[in-house]
Amino acid sequence: MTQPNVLEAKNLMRSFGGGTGFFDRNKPVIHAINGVSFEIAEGETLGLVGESGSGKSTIGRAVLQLEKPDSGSVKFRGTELTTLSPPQLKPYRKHMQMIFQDPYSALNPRMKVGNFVAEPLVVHQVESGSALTDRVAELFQTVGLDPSFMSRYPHEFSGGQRQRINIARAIALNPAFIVADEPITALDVSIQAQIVNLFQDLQDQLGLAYLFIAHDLSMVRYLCSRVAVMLRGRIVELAPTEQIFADPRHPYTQSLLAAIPVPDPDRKHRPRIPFNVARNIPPRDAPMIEVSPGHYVLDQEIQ
Amino acid sequence: MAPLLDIRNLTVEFDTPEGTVHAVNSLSYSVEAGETLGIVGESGSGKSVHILAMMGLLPMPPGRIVSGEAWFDGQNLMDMSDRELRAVRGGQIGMVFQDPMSSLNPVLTVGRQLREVLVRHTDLTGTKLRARMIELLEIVGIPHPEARLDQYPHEFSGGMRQRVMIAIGMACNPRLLVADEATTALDVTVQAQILDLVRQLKQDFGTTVLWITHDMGVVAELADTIQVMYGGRIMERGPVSPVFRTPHSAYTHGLLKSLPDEGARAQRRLYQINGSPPNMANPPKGDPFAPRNPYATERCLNEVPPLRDVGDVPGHKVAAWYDLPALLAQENEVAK
Repeated sequence: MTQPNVLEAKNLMRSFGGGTGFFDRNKPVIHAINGVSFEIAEGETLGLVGESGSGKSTIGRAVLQLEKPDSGSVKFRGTELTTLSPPQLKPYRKHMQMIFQDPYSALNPRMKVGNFVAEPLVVHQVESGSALTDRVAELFQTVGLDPSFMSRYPHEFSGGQRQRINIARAIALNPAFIVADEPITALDVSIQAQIVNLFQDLQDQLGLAYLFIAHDLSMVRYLCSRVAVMLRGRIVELAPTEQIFADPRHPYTQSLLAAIPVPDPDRKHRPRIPFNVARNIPPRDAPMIEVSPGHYVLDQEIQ
Repeated sequence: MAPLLDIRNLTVEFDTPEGTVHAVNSLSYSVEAGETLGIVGESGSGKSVHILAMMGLLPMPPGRIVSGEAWFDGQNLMDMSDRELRAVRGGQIGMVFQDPMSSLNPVLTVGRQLREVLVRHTDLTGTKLRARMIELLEIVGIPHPEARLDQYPHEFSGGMRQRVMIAIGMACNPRLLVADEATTALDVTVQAQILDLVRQLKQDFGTTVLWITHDMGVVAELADTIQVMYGGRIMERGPVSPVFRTPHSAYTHGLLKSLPDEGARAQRRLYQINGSPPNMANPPKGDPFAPRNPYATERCLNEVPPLRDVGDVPGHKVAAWYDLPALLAQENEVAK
C-alpha cells in the first residue's frame, strides 16, 4: 500500500433506540455499529460484507456524514469530518458520493435525467450555461449513455440505464471516494457485469476509491482488493481479498465462504460450516489482532 | 411414466397502456416426479408469470391466458374452477414466493396461518394438528417452535419468516413444491440452510421441486435439470452438468461466462452481455436474444427458432439457429 489513505474511520459507534421519552424508555438500545475502524487508500476498493442488519449500510452513511456517528472519527484526506458544521462540510461533500441499491427510487420521476445529473454541478456552482450542458453530455458518454437521452424522463429507461444515470450524477463533481451500497443487487443478471465493468473503468480513469457494500461474495472477490466482514455491528475480519478467501480465520467468515453457491454442478456437495450468530455476538472490547501482514481478526472466544 | 407436471403451449399476455405485453409465448415443458427443475431467467423472461397463470393467481385483467394447458397428475389446472384450484394450492402443490413479509398476513400469528393450511387440506384436529404444526417448524429449523407458533410475522427475522413460508409450502407434504426466488432476499448463510433443507425434503418425501432463480450457483447446487428462459420462451434446457459444461444457447453461454470467476479475476474484466432485456410490448421478431447476440445470423433476427435436440445428451435442447459449440471452436482456432 504505497497510496495514501483517502478515508480513515476510527472506532465508529452508532446506536438506535433506548430513548428517554415515555414511549421509548423500554426500547432496547441497538448498537448498529460498535467500534468499527478501517481505512481506504486512494483508488482502492474495499468490500464490506456480512449478514443483513450487521450495520453495513449504517457505516456507509456514517463515513459520508449523512448520519452522524455517536462517537468515533472519520477523516477525509487527513481532515476530521465529524466535528465540522454543515456549511464547513459542504466542500468535502463534493469529493464523497453515494450510489444506492435501487436505481428506480433514487431518481426523481418528474425531473429530466439530464437535469438530475446536472443538479450537483448547479448546487456546487461548478458549471453553468452551455458549459454545464457540455459537461452533462460528457458524463452521459462516460457512463455509456447516448447524450441525446438527456431530455428524457426516468420511466423511459431500463434498470441498467437508470443505474448508469445515478452513476453519472455521482461522478459529476469528480469525487475521490464513492460508497456503493449494493449497487448491482437489483439489476438483471445480464446487466450486472456491464455495471461492474463500468465501476472498474471509472476507477481506472478517475482514480476513484470505493467502499463496495455487497452480499454477493463472488462479485466482492472479483472487484475488491481488501474485504471487511461484519457481524452484529463489528468488523470481525479484514484482509486482502485473496488472503481472506484462502485462509479465513474468524468462524463467521469461514461459515460465510462455505455458504457461497458455486456455479458448478460437479461441486454441489460441499460441506457447510455452521456458525451460531446468536451465541457468538462479537464483544465490544475484543481487540483485532494481526495474524499476517494486513490480515486482522477479531480476538473472540467462540462457543 | 407420465410426467407430474406437463405444460403445453401456454401463452400469456398483458394489456397495458403501452400495448399488449407478450409475457409467455407458446411455452411447453414437463417435470418428472421426483425431479428438481431449476428455471433461470431475468425480468420479462416469463418465469414467474407462467407459474402465476398455471396456479390461477394471475390478475385478470390486465393478464390474459390466450391458450395452453397445465396438466398436473392427470388433471388440467386450466380447466379447474377457483374452488378446485384452491384445493390444489397449498395441498398437492406448495408454493414459496420471494417476499415473506407480503405473503404472510401481518395480523395473524404464524400458528394461525399454518393451521389454516392444515385445516383446509388435511383431516388433522386438536392435539394432532398442533403437534404437526410444531413438527413443521422443527423441520425447517426454527428454534423453540412451540413458543414461536403464537408469535406474529414481525417478530421473526427475514430468514425465519422465509422458513415459515417454506413450512407452510411443505405443510401438506405437497407432491410439487414451487419456489420463486425464495432465497434471493436472504443472507448466503441462511440461503445455504434453506437449500440444504429442500434437499432433505426431496430425499425424505420424494418431493418434486420447481425452483425459479436468477442465480446459476443455486441452480448448480439444487437442480437436476436447468431451463433457461428469455423473452417468454425456453432458450435452453437439459441436465445441469452438460448444460453448464457445453451451453448451446448464446444466452446461457453469456450468463455463465459473465460470472466473476478465476479467469475474470486474472483478466480484471468481466465478460458482458451488451444491451438490455427486450421490451415485451414490442418483442424482437425472431429469436428474442438475437439483438444482443454476437453470434446471431440473419435468420435469428427474423424467425423464432424451435426448441431442438442438441444430439449427444438426452434431454438437452436448445432454441437456436446457430451451432454455438462449433462457433466457439472456430473462435478458439482463430485465437491460436
